[in-house]
Amino acid sequence: MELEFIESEYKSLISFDMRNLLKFLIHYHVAFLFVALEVVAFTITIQNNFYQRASFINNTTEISGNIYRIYSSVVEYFNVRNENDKLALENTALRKLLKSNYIINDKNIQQANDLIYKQKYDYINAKVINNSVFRQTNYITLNKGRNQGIKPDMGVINSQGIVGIVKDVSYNFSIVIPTININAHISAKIKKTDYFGTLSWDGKDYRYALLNEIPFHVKVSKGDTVVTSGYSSIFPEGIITGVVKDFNFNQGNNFYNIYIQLSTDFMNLNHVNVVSNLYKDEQKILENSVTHD
Amino acid sequence: MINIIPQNIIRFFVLVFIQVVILNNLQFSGFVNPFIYILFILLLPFETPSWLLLIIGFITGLTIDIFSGTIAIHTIATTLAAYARPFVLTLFAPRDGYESRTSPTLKYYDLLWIIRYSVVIVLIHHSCLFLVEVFRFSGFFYTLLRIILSSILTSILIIISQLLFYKNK
Repeated sequence: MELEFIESEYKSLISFDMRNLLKFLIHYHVAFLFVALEVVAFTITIQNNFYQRASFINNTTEISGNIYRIYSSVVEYFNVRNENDKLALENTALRKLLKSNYIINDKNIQQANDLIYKQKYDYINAKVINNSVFRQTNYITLNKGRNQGIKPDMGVINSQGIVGIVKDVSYNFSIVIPTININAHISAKIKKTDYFGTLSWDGKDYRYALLNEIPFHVKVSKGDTVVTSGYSSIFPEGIITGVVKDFNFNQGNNFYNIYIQLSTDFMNLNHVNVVSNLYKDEQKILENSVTHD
Repeated sequence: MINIIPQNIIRFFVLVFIQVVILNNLQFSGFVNPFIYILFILLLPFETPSWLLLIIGFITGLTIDIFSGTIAIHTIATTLAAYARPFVLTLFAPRDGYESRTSPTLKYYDLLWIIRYSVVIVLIHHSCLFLVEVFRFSGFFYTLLRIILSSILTSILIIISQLLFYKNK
């Protein structure tokens, strides 16, 4: 008898609670929806920052990429003159390297060279179809992607110097994190002394970047050339990055703050070369096998 | 009343187009960017239910993100602005409330009201956008300067567009 009473009371209590909960949910449905949507947006942001982008983003790149291609094909005409000058300069530089400009002085050495030198880096030509320089997280879109042999983590350079690193590819487009993105870190060294550090950007001016981790005892002077170190297997060694514009050091810190004037004009990008390291996988596998021990 | 929906859809496409094709490529003096697309959220009719407002804000932000390559920072900021809109409207409500079938334009309300309403929403949106974009608090005053200058520019563009399209009182 008593047990029954308790049971019924218990049931009514539950239904009362459920009703309250439902009322609560209905009353605050807007706030709940808001929190849910923000959580979704933050999740996408964080995944996008730290991991590969979800495949649906790749598909949307395909759509927006096509629109940007049409847009850039119109804008391109305004830059034709500048771009021609740059290409002409590059042509001259390349012509100087032609085989016909050199005399073969010793046949034996020439043959030996064929055995010693194997091609390590290959280049894929691509065109910039979208670009930004004034945001903190700048991105560049290229008109080539997976179908043309571009893969994530390949380096991107142009005739003036380094441009950035491929982050994501869709079938026909790829997205590049340029040097001027606050999340970009590129290994670079001072050409004269061979000491290397990390090139990063402070988000202020697209013409300048910072070189960190150069120890205090190294001699640095204004006008020193900064080139890629070749350690990261992304860029070949010795691609020009910029020149030292200014440097200083804080008391109590073992490293210099070095300001680099970037050699690449990010405001005016058009044709770029994507660097493919033919030995990258081999190097990566070897390096990973050591760190996993 | 019936043509409110197509009218808003057209406005959505026009503003996204202006933002992506013109304003994203036209930055003034380095670090100031106007984000005029927030005007779409500002101009939605008063009767829009809050949940719909949130979903519209989410979709608008995501669209801009996809075309700017800045995945989800505009989504976060625009959803917040859409959430804040009903509160801002209550804050600035006229004494006898908002008349039905009117929209927050210069056609129905005076310039001072429009300025206050736009500036508050733009400030909320831009603060969220720039802070999430940097995702850290170093260089806070630099970010603050960007927020203030960009908000001023966006607000001016919004007021100009209101004067151009809704002046015939």
